[in-house]
Amino acid sequence: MKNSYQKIVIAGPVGSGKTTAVNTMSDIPVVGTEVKASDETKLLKENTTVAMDYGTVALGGKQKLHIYGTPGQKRFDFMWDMLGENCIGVVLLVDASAKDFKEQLAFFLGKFSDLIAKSSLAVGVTKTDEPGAAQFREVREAISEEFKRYPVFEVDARHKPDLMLLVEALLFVIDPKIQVDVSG
Amino acid sequence: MKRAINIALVGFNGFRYLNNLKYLIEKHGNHKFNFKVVETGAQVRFVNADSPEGRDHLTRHQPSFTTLVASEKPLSDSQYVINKPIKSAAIHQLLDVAGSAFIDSQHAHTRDDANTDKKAKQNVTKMPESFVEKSDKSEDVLPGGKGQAKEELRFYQPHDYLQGRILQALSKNKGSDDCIRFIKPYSQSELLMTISIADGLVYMPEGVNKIDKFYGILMAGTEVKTQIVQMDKNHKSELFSSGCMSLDKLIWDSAVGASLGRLPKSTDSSTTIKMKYWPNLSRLKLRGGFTQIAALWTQNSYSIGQVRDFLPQYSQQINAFYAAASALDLFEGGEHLMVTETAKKVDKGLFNRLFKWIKS
Repeated sequence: MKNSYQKIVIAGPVGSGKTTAVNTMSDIPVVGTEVKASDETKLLKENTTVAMDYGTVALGGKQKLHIYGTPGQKRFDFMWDMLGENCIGVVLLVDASAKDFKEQLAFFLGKFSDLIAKSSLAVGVTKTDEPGAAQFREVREAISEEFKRYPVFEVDARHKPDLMLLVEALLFVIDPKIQVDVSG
Repeated sequence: MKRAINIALVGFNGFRYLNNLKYLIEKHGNHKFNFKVVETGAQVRFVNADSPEGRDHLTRHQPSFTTLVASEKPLSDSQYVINKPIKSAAIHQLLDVAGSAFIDSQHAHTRDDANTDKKAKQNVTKMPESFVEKSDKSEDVLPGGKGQAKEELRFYQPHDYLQGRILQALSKNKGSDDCIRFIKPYSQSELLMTISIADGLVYMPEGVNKIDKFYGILMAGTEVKTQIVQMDKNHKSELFSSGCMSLDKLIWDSAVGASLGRLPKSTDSSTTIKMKYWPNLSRLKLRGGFTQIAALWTQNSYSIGQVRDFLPQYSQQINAFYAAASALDLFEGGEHLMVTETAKKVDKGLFNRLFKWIKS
């Protein structure tokens, strides 16, 4: 079957909710590679992903959607390049409660810019309700001009409708005039 | 048979004044008709020509049996205008003339219908649908103007709804650090909400779920009192830490609620426009098709008409989306924003399956 292997990449810094998002979206128990954090990450959370999280969604027939959650630490960036093939788009999660969210946004958008140009992007802003978090509009305003045409929504990585809306928007960016037929 | 005629008061403010007028109007009548003061579904308007709402109304409507006027200065020698101070004898005479003309026009309309369509005569006692006002142009929907009436139903006046009152208060206090308190319609002091302009937040004492009911209420003749208040930082952070929603959400949701599939008045459907960025759709009132409409307007410049051509199944949603996005000032205009489209090749089968998964 043509294009039977398709993927969505969930990217973002440590603690932005990537593992949770893959868990929320996947049909199968997620194959995770979380270990006890040993570096500066342990200041942020107890466990962290060191390879990648993997989940799938059955789309009917033999077609599957593969969901990859990348490790957040910058030293694993060599792995991000491997995810480009057959990628429908990148869901970038940003932690609004992180002090350096602007730098993180710029870094990840820069790193994934080639892949985004070939596919699509949707940005999910997480943890906006945490004390001291930046307001949603501050995060949106921090996104550089070249990425303004992509959707940016507040999301809770545990809440499936939020993530579905992100993916829906990501698909419509690829072809806004598509006539959707969900009857078949 | 005695007929009840719905009348709305436009531009008359003040609890006591409104109640006195209501009493004067509703207690009057004869064996053919009486009047009932209503907020929505009005067939006749009684307009205070000395108020901003009344002046606005009279720019679009001449005095007639559906537009009765009270004015401090003599406006015209029309029998549908009375001078202030309003005296009970004068208002009762006005109601007699208007009521009779209204009933006569209904009969004439019914006869017209009977002549043109035999089947319709079975409905002679039924109020013509076009009389039940859905827009604020009552005489535009009178007999003889049905085509125009249909066109008019596609538009609404934002100022007649909470949406317009919020935007008006915000534009008056642009850039201010103060807060704006909104008092509930028909109340002297009961708080509806407090807006902190600088923080982009709205506090609602009854919780954020109770504001919805105000979005669609026609407030054409109703004053919504606002007060500017200054708050110290502590009070502000305490107030806006609970029962709170974002100001963007309030503006968006109130516009969707007021629009009901109509466009704001004076919208030009042929002007090419583009959105500066996506609205935060996950936290806003969503309607079917909003995500695709947002995608169209963020990826390229299109007129409302063009978007309707692409998505004819979402015609009303496009109007509501436009109303809300323009209330948030998300559009920029101009042909110069048109970009050449290089459509990516899409596997339609895969996309349909993905959308099916999303909808499930």
